[in-house]
Amino acid sequence: MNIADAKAALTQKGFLDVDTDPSVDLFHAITQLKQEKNAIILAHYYQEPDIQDIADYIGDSLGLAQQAAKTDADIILFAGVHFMAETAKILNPTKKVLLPDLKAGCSLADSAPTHLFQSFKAAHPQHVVISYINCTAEIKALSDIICTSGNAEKIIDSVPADTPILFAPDKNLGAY
Amino acid sequence: MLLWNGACQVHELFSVEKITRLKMRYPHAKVLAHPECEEPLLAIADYIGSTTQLLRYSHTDDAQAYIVATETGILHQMQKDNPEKTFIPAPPNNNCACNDCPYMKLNTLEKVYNTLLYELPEITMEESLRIAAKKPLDRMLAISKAAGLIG
Repeated sequence: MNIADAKAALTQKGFLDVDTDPSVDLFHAITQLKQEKNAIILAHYYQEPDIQDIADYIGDSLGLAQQAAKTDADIILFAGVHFMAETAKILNPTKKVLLPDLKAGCSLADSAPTHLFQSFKAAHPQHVVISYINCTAEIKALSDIICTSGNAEKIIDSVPADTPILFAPDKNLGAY
Repeated sequence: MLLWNGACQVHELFSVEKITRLKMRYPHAKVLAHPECEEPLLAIADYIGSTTQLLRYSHTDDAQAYIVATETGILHQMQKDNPEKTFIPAPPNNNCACNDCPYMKLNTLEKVYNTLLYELPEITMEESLRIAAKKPLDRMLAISKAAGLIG
């Protein structure tokens, strides 16, 4: 597909399905583009090995969020899933945040639709809402504090012991 | 604590039965698990933590073999940091023995190249939503910093 067609099909496909010259050395080309554009690649540990090897920083959700908050790059290419790139954008409004495939979702984030969560929250007005970072920006906006698997205990400890907590969206992490 | 009924499709798949059998084959291997795993698996884990914590543990701990119950992408860094140790992906409860996250693996090197070249797809967001979503994230970063979890 040529670039004009690929751009037109972007919404439907979720990524730029453009023809790539098979003789291009992708590792070399990506390194060059990063320098030219002052771009940084943040990759999650669950990315394929090649992507981890070309990344400037590899981490889990907490490390990546912190890295996104303090980078000087003009462009952040986020090699991970949608909610992670969203988090980078939330923390960095003036930077361009790119995600290679918009269809890279998350079964956890998908398990909490905004309108259902809104009614759940409304039914428990006394509860502090702690949401796992694996959720959409809309769910974050409805939450009091965000946590990751690396800091969940500390975050929960920061709330007074007698305060009721509503935890979303992962029941296993919450139970643990 | 009131829990929303959600779960991660990768971490829910692990088979405690298959892991127990693996432990018999590798009696000295330790089970490392992510807290998104179900309770019966967490009960037999030797160590539970986030991906960063699992990675750190596998490096500082002195066991020589580990059964890793999280997405297999993490094995790349574990193996790089500890070339002499053995890392076994925990088997899932399905027929194809794979516990890759299908979403994470949508990203490829070629897509990374094209995305950087054409600067698309880009993430955009309404400013009001962004500001509302930033508040709980800032609280998380402040608490994590105070607790010494991040620098």
